[in-house]
Amino acid sequence: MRCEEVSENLSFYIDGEIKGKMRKDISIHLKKCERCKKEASDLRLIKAETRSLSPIEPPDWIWFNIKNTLWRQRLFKRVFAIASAACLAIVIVGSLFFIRTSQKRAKTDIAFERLKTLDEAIEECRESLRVNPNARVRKTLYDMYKEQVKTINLIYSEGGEQ
Amino acid sequence: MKRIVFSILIIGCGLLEAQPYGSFDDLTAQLDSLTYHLDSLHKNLEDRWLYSKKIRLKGIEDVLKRLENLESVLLWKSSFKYETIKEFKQEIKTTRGTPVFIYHKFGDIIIYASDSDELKVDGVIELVSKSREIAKEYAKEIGIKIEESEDKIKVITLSPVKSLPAVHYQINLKILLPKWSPVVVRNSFGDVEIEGIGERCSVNTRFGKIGLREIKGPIEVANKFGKIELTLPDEVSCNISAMTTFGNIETDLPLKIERDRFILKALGVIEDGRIWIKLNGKNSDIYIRVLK
Repeated sequence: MRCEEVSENLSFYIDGEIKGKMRKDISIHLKKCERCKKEASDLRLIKAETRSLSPIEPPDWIWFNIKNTLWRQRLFKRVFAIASAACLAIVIVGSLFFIRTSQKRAKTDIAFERLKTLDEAIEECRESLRVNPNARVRKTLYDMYKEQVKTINLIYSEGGEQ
Repeated sequence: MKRIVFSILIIGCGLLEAQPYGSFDDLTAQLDSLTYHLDSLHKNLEDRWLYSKKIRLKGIEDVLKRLENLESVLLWKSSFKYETIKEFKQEIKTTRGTPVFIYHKFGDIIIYASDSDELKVDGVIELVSKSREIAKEYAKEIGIKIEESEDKIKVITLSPVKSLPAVHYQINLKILLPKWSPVVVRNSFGDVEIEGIGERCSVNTRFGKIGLREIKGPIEVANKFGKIELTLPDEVSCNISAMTTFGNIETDLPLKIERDRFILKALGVIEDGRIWIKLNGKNSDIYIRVLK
């Protein structure tokens, strides 16, 4: 058996975890090789010393530091999650508001265009009313006025209220 | 401060104007007042930062009240006593393909196609007035004239030169047209119905419904306020382009409908697209159907 092989398994050998032929081979090697014998002796000494040591009580501040670190990590995660959710909510609400405002604006613009055509129509009806105020002309004029009031009302309800 | 001043002005104007409304005689004054208030509302909409919601709602209420008061005057059934009804009938022979132009203003027009080569015009003139004398005087000036030239026939309705609010009239026309005659119709306040013409058909009205049925030639229609109803003959071959502003288009043909803000278009070629059809409506709903 070579020294490297013995050195690799020496700790297990001392702990009694190696059995059978391999244990026998290492024992034979240790009797012959002074260097490995010395290494085995050092290892036995270290293990014996370790066993004789009494358990050390960690100081209180260690637990405080650990708790503090864990709490900070958790807090950071929570704050990050809340901030992300808030940003997402702001983006969603902002987008919805923008879409709604644009739709309202578009509707209002269309209503303004309609008001222009109704103004022209009313003017034309009133011209005809001077020439021939028959029932048809009067009814048309009335319908135009009604449509105009309806359109203005639509702008009121759709347009930005103060 | 500005808002308060404007509010006081508007309420002040409202109180001054809020008087009971009279009869048809002062209709112009009432309409002026209504128009003035509508204009204020319109301006109010444009400069909305100047006005509070309360003031604007007050403006709307005021206009609605004025309109309600005007309803009885505008939709009132004539209280004029003297009614004069004149009838007009004329028949003339036409040559094949001679276009007929109809220039009309107040009243309905119904045109039917016939297999004969005669153009028959039936007109009913209804005139109402406050006094018999005025009615008689005006009845002389209102009529129907047919002008015949080599290349066209014109049917023209005549209106009085001077007008009085104490008189109103309408002329309803029924025309039997040779089916091979192209027809051009211009009207202002009244419906137009045309059926069975085999040639070009062009209709332009301002305020009234247009109904075209089984027209076999090219069609060109324009309307300002009022629906357009087109019923095409079975197995039609046409190229359709329909457009309306502030209106709707309904069709049972496979047309491509496009919307751009308040403009709605319907385009499509049916079969070989042999004849063209152009419909143009403003504030009009358009219905395109095929006779089944």
